[in-house]
Amino acid sequence: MDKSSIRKSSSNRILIGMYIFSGAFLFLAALLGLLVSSVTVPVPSIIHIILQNSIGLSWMEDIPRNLEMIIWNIRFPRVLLALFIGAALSLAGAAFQGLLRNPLADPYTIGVSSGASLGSVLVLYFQINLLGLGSFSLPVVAIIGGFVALMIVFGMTRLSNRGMAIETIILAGIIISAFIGAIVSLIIAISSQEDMRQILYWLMGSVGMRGWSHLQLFIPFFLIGAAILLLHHRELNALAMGEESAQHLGLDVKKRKIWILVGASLLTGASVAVSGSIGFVGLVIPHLVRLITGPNHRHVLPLSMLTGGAYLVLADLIARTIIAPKELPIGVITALVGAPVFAILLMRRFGRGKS
Amino acid sequence: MKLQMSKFSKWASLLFVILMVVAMVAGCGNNAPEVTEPANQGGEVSAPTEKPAVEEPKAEEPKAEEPKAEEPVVQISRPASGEYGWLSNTDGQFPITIIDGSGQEITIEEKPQTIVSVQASHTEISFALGLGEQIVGVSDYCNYPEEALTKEKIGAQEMNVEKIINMMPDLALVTDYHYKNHAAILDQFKEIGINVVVINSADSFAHTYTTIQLIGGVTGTIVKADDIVIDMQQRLAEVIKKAEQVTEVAKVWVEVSPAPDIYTTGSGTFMHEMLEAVGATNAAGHLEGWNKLTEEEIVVLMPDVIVTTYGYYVENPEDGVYARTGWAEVPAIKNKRVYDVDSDTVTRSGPRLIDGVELLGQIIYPEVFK
Repeated sequence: MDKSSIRKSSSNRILIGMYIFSGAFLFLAALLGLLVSSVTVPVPSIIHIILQNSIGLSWMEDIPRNLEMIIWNIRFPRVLLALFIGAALSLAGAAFQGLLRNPLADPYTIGVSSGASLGSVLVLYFQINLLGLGSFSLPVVAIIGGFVALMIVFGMTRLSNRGMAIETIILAGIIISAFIGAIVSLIIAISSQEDMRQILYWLMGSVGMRGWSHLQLFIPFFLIGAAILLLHHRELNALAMGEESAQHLGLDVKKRKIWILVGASLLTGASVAVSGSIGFVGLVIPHLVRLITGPNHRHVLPLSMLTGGAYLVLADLIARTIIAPKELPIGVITALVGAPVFAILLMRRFGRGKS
Repeated sequence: MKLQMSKFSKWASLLFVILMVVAMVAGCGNNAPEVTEPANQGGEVSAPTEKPAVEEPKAEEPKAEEPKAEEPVVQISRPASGEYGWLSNTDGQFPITIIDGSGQEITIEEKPQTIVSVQASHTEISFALGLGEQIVGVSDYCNYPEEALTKEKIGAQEMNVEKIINMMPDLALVTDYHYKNHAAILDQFKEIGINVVVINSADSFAHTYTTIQLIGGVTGTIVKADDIVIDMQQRLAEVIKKAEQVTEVAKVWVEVSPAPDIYTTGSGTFMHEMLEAVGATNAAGHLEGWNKLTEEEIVVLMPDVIVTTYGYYVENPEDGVYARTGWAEVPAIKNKRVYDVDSDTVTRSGPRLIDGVELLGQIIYPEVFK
């Protein structure tokens, strides 16, 4: 008894340390994202502009209007968007990996992202302007598309398996993803060169040229989805044992599964709708986090959020400065970084397994 | 015996796996859509829009030198979306008010001292108007004239917004693409005092003339703009006149991207207009806009001349065409009449279009267009 309480307090300390570290890492990443860019703005001005616009604190005068616009209207929302999307994708990825009991699962496995991508591609191809929403039409239609895809996956699963088994959901998701992917390829094939470039660029993912409006559209989905998932950490732990065991533990497996799927899909659909499909975030970050925290979802979920947010902010920073003034698509950076990291994780797993 | 069987089946399955992998790799090799597909780099596609309706010329320029052309001297035509209008006397005096490609009224108070251009054609036009000093930012694809390469790059379809706002130019020339997709950013520009003029993509000579005049008007160089337009119209008229001497009309097949995805320019594109001007027939004239055709469909057309525009990123495009199996009976191949032209002169809606026309004439009918 004594030993376990001592163990608990020292592992508690490690965990607290992890949270503080992740939080600090996130804060520093965000700071770096704000300070460094293709256009250099003096640091005191940056701090002043942000404080002035957010809480009205002002001590400097004569900040040029265009600098204020750069920081407050362009850079700040961009960093925030990267932060939230990184958090959303990592959280959804962790939830999917726990739910599907598959280390290769990522937010795009069950087809929600395909639906969102199709929605966006349709908007780009047909130049749809929904109810005069202008450039807002794209994320709105994309979210609807993601939702529709999810419904189709659910429907397909239900028709084949009353109990909504996870394996069936995965299969249905892959089928829907493949089918929608084919439709997207079809649209790309028949679109003009200009549209094609636009579509492909969009599909590669970006958090730039978005602004506060996109962030405001994204935040509600983020909050609801994150709340759902964070509250289901116990259920995810139980499901890790297998659905039957979870049932025996007293879980209403079917209902909880659907909740978790909906929560993760909200996060994924909104992310893809706003920023395109940025890969390797939802896949790699949860694994990294689990290296330190172990499989307990109580900690994996929030820490994935923090780490994922910092990761994407830094990836975006690299994407927009490394070949400035040109910009690399952010998906390229996350893939170039994520794949080797994933390989290393894989090898470490093998190494541990052998011994 | 059991051991021998398992050894055999091991090798058989290994061979099977290798064959599958090879088949998959060969199949996957062609899947990636080529982003560098079309010949032009600056997103200057001539999307099939309807021909702009022609309006009566609002004669604002002092010297109305009548060219020998059939086309009137100065025309303001309405592009497919939005219109360019002149709402003030355009004798070059500021402030001037125009209606730009977004349909909004834009007033420019003073002659712009610093200009940013996000499209290669607008950059070319600006340099031709003598604005080399005023241009401070160009797109990633602006490559003509040479001086453009020395200017600061500010992105293209994806603009480096921070940079542009930091530069605070007096005037930003953007395209309808930016207006449709990033109107919020254009509003941000206007909010901090950058004049934004939306210029729609041009897909015809007439539209190019109005683009040149629009840029001339908003930069205070309308006189030079008129000169350029008149010069282009005159040279085009000469080409059309020479084309009357053509006895045997040649059928020309245009390729803007190499095999296996061969795209051509149908009606409503610059190439089509140019081919008609020099007295040739566009083999793909029955199609509208940019189209992808299969090899069979092309060979059936039996073109007399083949023109490619992708020489800047494919080595020896002519050899590639000559080497195509099954094309031996095509007249263009038999008579060795495959030529590559600089895509910028035939797809970019700027002053060099007229160079493209003359070049095409020399290629297709060398006896007539010496």
